[in-house]
Amino acid sequence: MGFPYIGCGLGLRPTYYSDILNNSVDVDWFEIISENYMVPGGNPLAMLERVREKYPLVMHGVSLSIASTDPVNLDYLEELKSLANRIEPMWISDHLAWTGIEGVNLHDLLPIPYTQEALHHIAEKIRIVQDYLERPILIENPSTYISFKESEMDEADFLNEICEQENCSLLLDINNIYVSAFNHNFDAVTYLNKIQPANVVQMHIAGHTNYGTHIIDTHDQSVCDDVWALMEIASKRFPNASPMLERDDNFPPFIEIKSEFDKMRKTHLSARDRK
Amino acid sequence: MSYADFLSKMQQAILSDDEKIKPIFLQSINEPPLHSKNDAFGVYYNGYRRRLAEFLSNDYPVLRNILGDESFGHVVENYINICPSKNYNARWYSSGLVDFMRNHAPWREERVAIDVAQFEKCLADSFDAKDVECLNISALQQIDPHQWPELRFRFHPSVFLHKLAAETTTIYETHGENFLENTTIITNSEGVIFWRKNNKCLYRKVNDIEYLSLMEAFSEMKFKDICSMVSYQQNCNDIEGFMSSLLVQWFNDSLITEVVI
Repeated sequence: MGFPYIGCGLGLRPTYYSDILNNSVDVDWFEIISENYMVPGGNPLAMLERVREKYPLVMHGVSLSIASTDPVNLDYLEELKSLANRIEPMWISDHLAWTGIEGVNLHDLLPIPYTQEALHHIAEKIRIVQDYLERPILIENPSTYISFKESEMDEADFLNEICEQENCSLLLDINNIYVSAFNHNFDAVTYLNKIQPANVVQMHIAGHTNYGTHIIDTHDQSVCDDVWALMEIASKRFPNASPMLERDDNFPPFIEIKSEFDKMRKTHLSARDRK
Repeated sequence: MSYADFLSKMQQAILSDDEKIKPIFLQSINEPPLHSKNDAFGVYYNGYRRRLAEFLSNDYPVLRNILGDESFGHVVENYINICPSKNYNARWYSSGLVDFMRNHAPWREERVAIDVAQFEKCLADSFDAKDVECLNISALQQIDPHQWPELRFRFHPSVFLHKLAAETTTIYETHGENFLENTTIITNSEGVIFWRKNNKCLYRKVNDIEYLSLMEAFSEMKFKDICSMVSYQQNCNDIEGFMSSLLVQWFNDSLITEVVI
């Protein structure tokens, strides 16, 4: 696929702009939420360009809605492409999910039944998107809270098949696997072992909230021990995938997030070495 | 069930309050290991409403303060139910709240609340408006003074001008603390201009003459015609001095991007 290994990344969030820009932060690259910068102008784009002068960037979207039955939103794609042309990211990713149909946007990453019909539909849409963007994209496994009787295969097989059909790659979210494994009572390591290593370009790691009966992917906590353990296994299986730490709420001081990032880097690198 | 039907049923189940719709969709999902189907689906059903309410609450903190949590919750709930988001960026969804309040009872009668919301929307709209280079006053020096009467001006995309209920600016600056709506506020008004300079959102009150001048300048009226209009309105002896000082302020504020002859 030609995506390089680029080391360890951190989510670029406005609350950390000054920490990142006023200091020499030892992070290999930053990931942005694409939609936060798909605006006409002003401070978001000004800050982004300053960060881009110092670090490689990766674009991660939440609104591509690749699994929706609506036609691909070409206005959205044009803005996405325009931002990509501006900042020249290492790659662009979004989720195996839909956000709405008939023009409605539910601002959520909604789950799908893993059927052949869904697979063909999504593969076709990925083809359209990749053609428009003139680059392959990465698709991320979602965290899900319901599963469907109509599913004909499991999520790992579905993702492998999508990659094979459409020459796209995976952003494997380790926390999402953990969350979904708990919510649907499947084995996370078995899932990891089914994923084709050659397809995995990037990994996400993040915190969640455990309600006892279910887990929600909140990104507002530190990464828990179980997810660190899963990350270690993933780093051995996918040594060429670049890991990245996400945090989207309940932001701690930068020194704390950097410390968690350092733990991720250490865990990842030592697991790679032990492969 | 086709894939398209499946998505349609799930979306209906999230958007609808109809008690008959959700159970039909729940038949298609597996029993979760540790809680009920209804609770599991609730992550999506409740998450949709909570997420949009959070966006709106973050974008309209002063409106929330003056309405109080209950009334604010009421307007937000109605907005979400009547106007589902059609924007991929929640930022644009949030900006529709002001028009919703203007067009729907009982909020359309709440002028101060609407204008506080308008104030907060203008700041948000200025924040990420398109970038365009602004001119400084030296741009005028490069134009033959004989041509100045013919000049027309173009303004930065972040510039917004509104006539708002009196004291809206004060209400915003005090975060709506101790706000008591009264007739004077509702019947009187104040002009406020919003813009962005060096990536910071700014605003200031403008008097009636500057408000009118800006309105005409926005419509690209010639400078000499703005002066005539102000002279007529203001009965001003030193109209040239008065208008020159306004113009200097517009340039110094970084409001003007183009001077057209």
